[in-house]
Amino acid sequence: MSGNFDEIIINLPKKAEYVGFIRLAVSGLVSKIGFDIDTVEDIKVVVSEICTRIVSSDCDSSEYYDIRFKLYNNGFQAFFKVPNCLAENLFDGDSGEFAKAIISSLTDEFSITCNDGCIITIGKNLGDSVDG
Amino acid sequence: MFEMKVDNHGENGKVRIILSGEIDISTAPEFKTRLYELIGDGTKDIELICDRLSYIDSTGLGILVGALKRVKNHENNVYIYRLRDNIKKLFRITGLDKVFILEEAV
Repeated sequence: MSGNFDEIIINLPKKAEYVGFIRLAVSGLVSKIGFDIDTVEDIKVVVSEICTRIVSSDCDSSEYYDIRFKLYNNGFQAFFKVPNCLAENLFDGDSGEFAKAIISSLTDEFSITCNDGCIITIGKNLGDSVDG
Repeated sequence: MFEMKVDNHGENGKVRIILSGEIDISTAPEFKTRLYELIGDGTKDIELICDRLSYIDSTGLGILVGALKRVKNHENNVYIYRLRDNIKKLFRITGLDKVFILEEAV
């Protein structure tokens, strides 16, 4: 991904009932770029999985979390800022392993970098996934 | 929106359950409670009819694995019918297509 991008930041309550909302929101955002329907579905699934892991965690007392989206002409990135304790246990348990497999498989970019807090990054290139 | 109905047409004492809508972190608690109630001590096979299930996340997949463990303890099984392609893809990615019995026709 390269060139200019539009940046959108969404601040969400750390509550299960808003994960469905973010699926709808991200669907609208990435459709704009021109991804085909299957890829839009994949991105919805991936973003939802990360939100689910964040919402499920009770390692800190924060009540909100941010997602930063970058929309390029030829792709999409999302950045989730989370505390270190959350990132360390992000993929615990059966559900965590499934989430990790799904996220790894459906994205072109997936990383977790930690310094003062952690950033989970996912990305998808437009590539051949073009609508129409 | 998530719905779960018990169908009385399960054969040979199987418990047939029709799932529709979305199973995610907000609906998973209801799904888990009702599914595990229906499974009880695991002495019956479970049939899940999924053609109207539009979405399931890793939380829901984890619940299905828990259900399978319960019925396997009594040498029973969980049969999953008519998964949509988007969900079948998640079963393949997670390897659960090899763990569950996936069927098209009931």
